[in-house]
Amino acid sequence: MAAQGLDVGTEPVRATPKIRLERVSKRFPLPRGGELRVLERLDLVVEEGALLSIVGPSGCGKSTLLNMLAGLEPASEGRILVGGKEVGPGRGTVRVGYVFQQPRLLSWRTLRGNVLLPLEEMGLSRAEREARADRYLALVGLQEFAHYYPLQVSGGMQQRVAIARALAVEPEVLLADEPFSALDEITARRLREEFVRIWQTTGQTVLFVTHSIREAVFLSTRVVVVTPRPARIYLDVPVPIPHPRAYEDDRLFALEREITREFLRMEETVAPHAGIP
Amino acid sequence: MGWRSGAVRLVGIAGMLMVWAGAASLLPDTILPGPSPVLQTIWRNLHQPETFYHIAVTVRRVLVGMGLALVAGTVVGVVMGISRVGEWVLDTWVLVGLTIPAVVYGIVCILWFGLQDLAAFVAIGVSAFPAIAINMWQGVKAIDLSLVHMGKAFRLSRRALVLKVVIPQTVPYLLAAVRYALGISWKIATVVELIGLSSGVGYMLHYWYGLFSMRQVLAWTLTFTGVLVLFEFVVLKPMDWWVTRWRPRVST
Repeated sequence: MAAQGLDVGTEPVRATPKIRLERVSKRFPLPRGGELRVLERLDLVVEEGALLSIVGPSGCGKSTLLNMLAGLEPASEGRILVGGKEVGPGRGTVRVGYVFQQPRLLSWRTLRGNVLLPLEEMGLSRAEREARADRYLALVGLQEFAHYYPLQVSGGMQQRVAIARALAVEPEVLLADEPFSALDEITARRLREEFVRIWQTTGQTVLFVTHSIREAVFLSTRVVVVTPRPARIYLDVPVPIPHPRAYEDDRLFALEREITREFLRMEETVAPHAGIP
Repeated sequence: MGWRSGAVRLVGIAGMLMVWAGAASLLPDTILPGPSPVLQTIWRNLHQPETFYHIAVTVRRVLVGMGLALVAGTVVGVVMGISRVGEWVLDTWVLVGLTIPAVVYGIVCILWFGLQDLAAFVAIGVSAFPAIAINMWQGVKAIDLSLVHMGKAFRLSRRALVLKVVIPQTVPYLLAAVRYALGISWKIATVVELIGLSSGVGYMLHYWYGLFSMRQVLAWTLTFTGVLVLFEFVVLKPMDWWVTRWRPRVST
């Protein structure tokens, strides 16, 4: 397959920034006083068209970061800009597509109905909505299953629908929160390859949260490692290997080893302190 | 459904009839008449327009009372499910309401509203209401919040979130509540008719009880049971099938 991909991974500096985090902090008050510091003065620029993975220990606030980008949670400090617009509750929103760890489909709607759900809120004509839903279902290879219900298809297919739903809103950014971690490895591999193909065809900017370094290295144009709570950026590595990639690529293995080594060193040096008294 | 389930059902009914006939052969007719005299009585009753009048009266009372209970129970149940204050204020009363014997509601309503339909409507509504409220309360509490989160992430309006994500999740509970309410309502209806009204199936049961006719008592009971079973198959089952058509069937 010819890779006519947007080869942005190699030259991130010149591409236009799509997401910009400026000294973003997030704290949650604790019920017994004190506060939980989740993010600590995070600075990050994600260039347009990038597939950026965020890797960190579990519970380090990766999902919180995605929720903030989706405008569901306010930042305690700092600014979040997506496509030049500030986001956050009460500050404005941009359209995001969100793929969760679980498919989170409405089981009483058909696969097509699930893709249509967010489109029904966007003021599109019926014909346009349906054309879009069908287009994105076809993109994930499910056009023939459009009229099935979620519980009638496999977990992998359900997750494809979730991806189609997120893409169909034609979002500014696509947020993915460990979307393949609940699937068996074979299905996950196939979906990762497909995800790369879809990303290349759509040119979406993707923010991909995962705890798997291998997955991050295989997928991304850039891997960011964050520390345990409060999360700060520990490592920021480009992955200058053109897509589509092979799982067995030695360069990927080398990079995975390197990042893993750094990751372990980080866990030794950065004592996890969450601000709990 | 299909022919097999139908055949199994028929075998079940035939078995019941045989047990009944066996027991009836050992007992005098005044204690337990057999299936055939009772069925003959039903057949004869069905040729009298009066029978349909009494059935219609009771059906109307059941449906109106149940409707009241469904509306009130759903509102209270949903409030209890989504508001903690609502739960604190209401849960004791719902539980108290559930504990009070339905006959008490029947007596009180007849004393308050007199010997008329209104007494039946209110008594049925009040009796069936707590069970529905509890069902809907549980239904709202069982809502999958991760789906609500999904809806918010995709910028669904509040209205769309309630109509398209929250309400559909409570439908199975609502349906269970309807079934339950129907069972309760019909029992209360007969009690109220028996105590204080001069029409309906409960009144007819009382009448034949007074004449000591076991055959007619059974005939009327079976007739109305038939009406309820019909309702189940003609209304509830298709509705059930329609709202859960997305669920893969467990058995074949």
